[in-house]
Amino acid sequence: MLYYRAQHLGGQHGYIEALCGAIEKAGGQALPLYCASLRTPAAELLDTLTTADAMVVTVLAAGGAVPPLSELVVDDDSWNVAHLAALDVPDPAGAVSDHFSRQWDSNDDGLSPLDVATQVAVPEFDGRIITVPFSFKEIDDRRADLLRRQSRTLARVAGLAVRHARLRTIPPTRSGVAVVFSAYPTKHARIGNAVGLDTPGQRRGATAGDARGRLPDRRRAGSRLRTATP
Amino acid sequence: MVSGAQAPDADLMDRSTVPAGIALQTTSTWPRAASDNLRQLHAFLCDTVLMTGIGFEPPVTIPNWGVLERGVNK
Repeated sequence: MLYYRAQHLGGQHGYIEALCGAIEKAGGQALPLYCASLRTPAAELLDTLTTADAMVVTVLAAGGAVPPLSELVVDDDSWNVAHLAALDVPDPAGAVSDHFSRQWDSNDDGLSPLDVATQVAVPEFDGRIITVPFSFKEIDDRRADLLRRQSRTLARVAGLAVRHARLRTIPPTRSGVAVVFSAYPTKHARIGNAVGLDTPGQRRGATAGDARGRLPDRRRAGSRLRTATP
Repeated sequence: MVSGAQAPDADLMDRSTVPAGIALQTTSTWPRAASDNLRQLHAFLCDTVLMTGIGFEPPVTIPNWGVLERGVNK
């Protein structure tokens, strides 16, 4: 688990300790690490990360292999996360929400645009596997302090991380791949979807055969690819 | 004017009205301004800008990354 050093220094790592517990409960071993940045990670940090089978990352990496010299200069390399990709470790992104717990609990709107930008869009550029938010803000009335707290969704993030870690040791001949086409019935439900297979119209062109064709590496490696129609 | 990023920002330094040395020290301390470093930075700025005599210590170095020691309340 990687989290920001600023939170470490501020003593705001209770939610990371809670995630450690959830990962152990799910059958994994927890290694909580704080770091100032993943743009230019120390070689020793990368070495330490090679011991992991999965990383739950809450620290952004994209935005440069090196910090940009100017906000106006953007080159292709500014989205380079080759040093992390080279670890070849699945990295579920644990979303650390900017919302307060009570805001999250009391409405059905889901993530705010700010959270979507920092906890979904940028992590996708980092190559992460998007999961769910597992930490929110709370006000501690006694200390008049702002705290970060874990949410009930903690077990979901921990479970996904441990299962991704286990998947590395399952040989392809024993693994199955499910390609799930989700359906969004109305136009209003399509907001924010961009992967190109969201709507019935787009789905018509995408058949099970396409799915098989798009997974040649898995099939060659011996994975079972089956289709089921709901 | 200082940035919270690790590297000093020449433009912000240039806009600061205090002597460059004070701005540079503040810039280098600010990203690790946890607990005691923040207190010392406050005393440093008081003493060097407002000429008070509180007294201050140089900032403590905090590693860029590390392993969380669980169950220890800071």
